Amino acid sequence: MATTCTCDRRDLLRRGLAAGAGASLPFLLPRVAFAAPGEEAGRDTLVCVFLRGGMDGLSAVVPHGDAAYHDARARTRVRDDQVLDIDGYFGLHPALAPLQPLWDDGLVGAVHAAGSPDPTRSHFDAMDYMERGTPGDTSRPDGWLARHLLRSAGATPFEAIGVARSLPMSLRGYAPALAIASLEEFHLDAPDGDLDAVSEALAAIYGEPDDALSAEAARTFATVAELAERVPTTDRRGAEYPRGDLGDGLRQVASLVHADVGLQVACVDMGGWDLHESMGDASDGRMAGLLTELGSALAAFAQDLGDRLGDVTLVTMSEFGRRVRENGSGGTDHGHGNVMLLLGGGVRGGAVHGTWPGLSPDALDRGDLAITTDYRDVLGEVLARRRAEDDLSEVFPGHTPTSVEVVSSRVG
Amino acid sequence: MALTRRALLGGAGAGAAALLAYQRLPLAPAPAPSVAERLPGGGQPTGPRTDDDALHAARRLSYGATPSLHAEIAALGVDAWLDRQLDPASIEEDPQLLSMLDQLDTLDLSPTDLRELFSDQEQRRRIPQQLIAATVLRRIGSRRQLNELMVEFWSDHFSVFLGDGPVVFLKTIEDREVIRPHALGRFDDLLVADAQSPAMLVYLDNALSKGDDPNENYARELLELHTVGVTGGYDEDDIAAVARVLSGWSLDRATATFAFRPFLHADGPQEVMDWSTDGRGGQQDGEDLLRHLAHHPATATHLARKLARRFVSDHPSDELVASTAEVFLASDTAIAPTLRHLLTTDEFRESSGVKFRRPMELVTGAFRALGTTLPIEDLGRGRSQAFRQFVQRVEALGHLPFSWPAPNGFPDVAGAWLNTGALLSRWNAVQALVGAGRRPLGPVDVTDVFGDARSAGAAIDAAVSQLLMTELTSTERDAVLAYLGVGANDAFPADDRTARQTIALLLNSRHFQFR
Repeated sequence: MATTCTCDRRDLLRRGLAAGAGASLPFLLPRVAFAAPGEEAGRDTLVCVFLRGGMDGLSAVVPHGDAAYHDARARTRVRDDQVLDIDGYFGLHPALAPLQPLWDDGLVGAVHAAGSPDPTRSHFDAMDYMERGTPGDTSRPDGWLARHLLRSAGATPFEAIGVARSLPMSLRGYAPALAIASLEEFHLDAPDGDLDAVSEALAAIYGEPDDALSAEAARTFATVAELAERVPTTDRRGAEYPRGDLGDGLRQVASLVHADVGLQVACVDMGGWDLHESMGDASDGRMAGLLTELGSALAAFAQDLGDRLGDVTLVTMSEFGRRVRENGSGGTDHGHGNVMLLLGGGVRGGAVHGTWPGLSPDALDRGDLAITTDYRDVLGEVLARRRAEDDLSEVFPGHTPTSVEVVSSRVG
Repeated sequence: MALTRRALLGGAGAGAAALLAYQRLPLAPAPAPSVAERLPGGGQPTGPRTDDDALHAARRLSYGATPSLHAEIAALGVDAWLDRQLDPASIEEDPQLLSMLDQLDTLDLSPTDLRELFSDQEQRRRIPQQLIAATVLRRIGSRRQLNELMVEFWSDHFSVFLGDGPVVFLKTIEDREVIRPHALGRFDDLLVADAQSPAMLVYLDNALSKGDDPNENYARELLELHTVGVTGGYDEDDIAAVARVLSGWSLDRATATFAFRPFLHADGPQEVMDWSTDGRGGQQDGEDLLRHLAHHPATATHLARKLARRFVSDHPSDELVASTAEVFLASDTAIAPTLRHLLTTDEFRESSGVKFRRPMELVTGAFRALGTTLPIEDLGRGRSQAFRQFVQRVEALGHLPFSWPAPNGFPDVAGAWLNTGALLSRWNAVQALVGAGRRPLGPVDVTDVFGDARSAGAAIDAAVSQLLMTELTSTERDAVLAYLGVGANDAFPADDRTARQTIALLLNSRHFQFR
């Protein structure tokens, strides 16, 4: 196939227009003409951290002023002399100490007794519902972030990314969303002298037919080129991320924010929360270890972002909380209500938001913390106030929004 | 008494206020492209279709079609070949595979010997290394390909995560004594054996469950994942009852074997969906419940759908699922007749080109196409560099056997495996495996692939017929010729590097991404 362009091969590849394949890949063109830095201002970058497995919100933001908590958690509780007290009633787990300065500065806040109203205690259903944004309903094929992105600004190469090997459900249905596990390793593995020729050949091979596989191939070439050109991934601005998926993921998100590539939404996962046994106590054990990783990763992310934290809102979620009463194996079974943490310049931090239902037997939902704040209200408020979303009924169909007042409106 | 509190509104502190000053100037966002502009074309990815039933069977019912497997199926006829595969004991195993497995000395260790090896910090890694190596070697080299596919199917169905403490050595026992013996046997036997498998007892915590204070982890996944499925008609009370019925199903830690502990078992009447017990049967109550669940119609439907998804398409028809479930129930949960039904339907026969290979299927397919296998030199002593590189590669693909971190097993639909990052990882895995990348994975002999072809066109065609067993489109063929920088009738530049990269391009083409 002839090409009329006389520019050099490497240049063509950068544009995803490998010789011989250009005519087959016209949809790449808008993707490389991305916004100048600043053009995407007016919307925060939203970072969604999914704590997979069912995070125990009662261990993270501890209702230590409630006697029922201490009764239900004889082996695994955070004692009054260990908790990082917030307001005499709630306190942070001591392993979240890295978040204390951010909490005190009002950059980190929490919403307690939040979650998805669907009663399921299945990991897989609960995650699926939560990420679709339609609890109890799987009739729509797309995720809540995909629906929001379809309605918001676009045409930047790194508009939406799941730092993962598979695209999270919340982003499915939004074609430009990328799943990339490692920005540093996102390049074709061929010897330097042969890289262009191999890339060209592959691009041509995937030039037809027009199906999902060809589209992903084209997107891959465009993304490789943009990454190499635009995103330095070395400067961490002194931040020390913990080892693990969350630290790795947030470090890469920070690189994209600093690179001004138009990042709108990023999803990062942290697993390991399904502690049916051997949670340990406040000073030692698996729960303390997970919370240490969570707290230090968020703190490192804030440090890495520096003044760019004003353009970012991070929110954590988990498919459900854990049962109030610990089980006989020193762990907790699947529960319901949970805590959501928020980090960012627009967060009304330093406080536990929401309506606390209490832990008395009649206040529980099948033995679990009741839900008084629908998680969609937290996410919806972030979208409306920080990302200029003006019709939440498109993002969360069938849900009537209620304000939580956990973020302030973005100025500009 | 419920304490109601609402935190102060507008509590953003001085830090946040200071940050707001750094916000960039607001500009109007760019107009949003239309939905159509943002959707990739075509929906489901499509691979090579074929009307040749033997070729379709060779691709779908093995870890990678080869010309010799295709010839074997064509000679026997698909149905006769299938019957042989469904009776794996009738197939003599490949002697080269057996001699390689012989080098893996931890596979046959007794539970107590495995436990002792596990306690040795220096040596313990040999156990998972050898289990993973044996699994990959068998997928590549076994003549009992359908049996290996079912071993994988059940390993996913009863997924345990090797990273969970002692599971790392208990899985060797489960693979050997639970999954493999029952892979084409009866599901009710398999279910009971798995419920008593130390790996499962530890992974889903039933070993710790106490009758007066049960741990629900296994009970929930037993219903949701292993038997009736999430829409199977149970509720939270049923889960709690299952946990009580199976309390006391535990583990003798000294011998690393199943043990029923009466003092941990909850006696008393229990009801689980349409099943009940007076609670005096002890261990037998649990076995009765498991067998009841194995024969439950909802279990039949759940398993039939998963089997159809594995072997036919990501979205099998309801009719195919229903007819397969019927055979499963009518044959007392026997797996072979269920599979025979599924794999002799028109829906199976007409399903070529629709299943996107999962990453390990791509990798094993490449080994098989090249007529080679995983290098395991020195693996017996836990020192194989080549194997370590292989594991890193497959981990990057997210598909290392027994490494899915949740109890639902690796996903089995294209959408879970086809995305930007995954595609690049696949290409790079093949680049490395064939020795075309910057860090080759190990010696792979590529000399046979091109036959004695002299011209570039003939060399490409020879490689395509051996590796892909299809024909390239003219665009694809021209792309390979353009890479070689020659015309079809010019001499094939047969230097080693060019030969390897030519093979990598073919294995990285669309045709090799499907099974």
